[in-house]
Amino acid sequence: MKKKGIFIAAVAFFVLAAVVISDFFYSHNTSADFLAMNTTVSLDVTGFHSKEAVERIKSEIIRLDEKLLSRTKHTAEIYSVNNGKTEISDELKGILEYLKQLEKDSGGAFCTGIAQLTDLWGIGTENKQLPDKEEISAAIKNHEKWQINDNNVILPENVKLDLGAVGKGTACDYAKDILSAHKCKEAVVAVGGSVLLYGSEKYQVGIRNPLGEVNEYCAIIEAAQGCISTSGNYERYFEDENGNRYHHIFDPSTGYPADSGLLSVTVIAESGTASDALSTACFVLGIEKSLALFEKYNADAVFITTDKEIITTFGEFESETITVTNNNYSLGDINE
Amino acid sequence: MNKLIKPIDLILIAVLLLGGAGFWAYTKYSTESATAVIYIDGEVYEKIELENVNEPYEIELPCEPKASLLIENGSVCFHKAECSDKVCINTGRLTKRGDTAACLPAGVVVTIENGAKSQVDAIVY
Repeated sequence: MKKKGIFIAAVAFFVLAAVVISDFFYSHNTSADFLAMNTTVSLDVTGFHSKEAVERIKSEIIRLDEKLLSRTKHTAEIYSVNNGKTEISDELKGILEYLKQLEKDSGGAFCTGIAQLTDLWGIGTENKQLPDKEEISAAIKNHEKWQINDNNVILPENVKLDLGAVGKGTACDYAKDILSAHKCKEAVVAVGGSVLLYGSEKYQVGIRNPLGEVNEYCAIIEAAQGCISTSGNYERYFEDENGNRYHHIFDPSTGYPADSGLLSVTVIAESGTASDALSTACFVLGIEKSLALFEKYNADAVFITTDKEIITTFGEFESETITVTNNNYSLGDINE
Repeated sequence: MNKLIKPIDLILIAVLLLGGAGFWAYTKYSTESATAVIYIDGEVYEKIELENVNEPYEIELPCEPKASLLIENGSVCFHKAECSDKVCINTGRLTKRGDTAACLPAGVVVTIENGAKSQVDAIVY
């Protein structure tokens, strides 16, 4: 009888131990918060190798900023390109070719060649100003005519590249590759407002209330894996003495802040570079002209209009759903 | 009746397993109280258990430009900041696990660890 008791206890112990050990290894969670790319980066990773994955993502995002994409850090390739160097690495070439394609597909609504325009307006800096029309015209001249030829970038006179609109999404793409290489189970990676959802879980993602505080959201998207980015007119702006607001998302065709009846656009796509670029492009284009882009990039979007309507492209049979959580907003129909 | 394992044995194993699993689940999912973790230039400057705060108080941070935090029972927020954009102050109060605010010019990040989980996994902005 005693032996039998030991046997029963041993069976129970080994079964439980197996469950606990496997949970320990596969549900091992590591999180980190740090500053990079002029924003906060939050990592929450689950998996046996989550610690190594987090360390690797952290160092890779810092490298991406400092060695590749920054136009203000002297160590970055984009800084060198903007200051006369033409030869670029294969890595940067791959990114720029993809961005060139996004520029073409968006009809120029998204453009990387507008650093001069960004600097002229100075929004978000102490040098913010409402420039003269002539200055604006000069700043957008030939902005779309930069080219990639083998491993060389050719910039027209007065054109400089600014990857600020897509750097955070590109960082999400790099993070996704690292999570995959480390066989992580699930993860949420937030590089500023660009978010990578990774794994089999369904996630709840809040869309910032464009008229509220930074941490306040007005709707929740339930979505599976992918990248989500938002462009809105509230993040960086200034007001002149007459109360006119000038925000930081420019229409490259006019050189002025985009005015398409939207407060924000949130895009869900497989690639973070694409979700970043498309959210900018769609903010410029407005709802109707954006629709073809979503089909081409297999993306979805949530528009918040100046009338406080929340309009989605989610189809009846798609996995994403949306819940409006703020009574000041209502759900609109894209077909109306 | 000479079987090695009788039904009563299986019931015993099940009871032991359930008891063990219950204890394991309790230790795994029970949440510690919300803790504000303050980072300055990437290093942990201070950790504050927000449940133990009886009276609101302000912390002046050793950073440039200057910034301070308001610590209350269950929440933390940027209170004053000499940065130009004031994004840190506009972030509002942090109360749930994963809530984060930062003052980029000052190199300060504040995040909530442990405690109740936020309703959302992330916020896009």
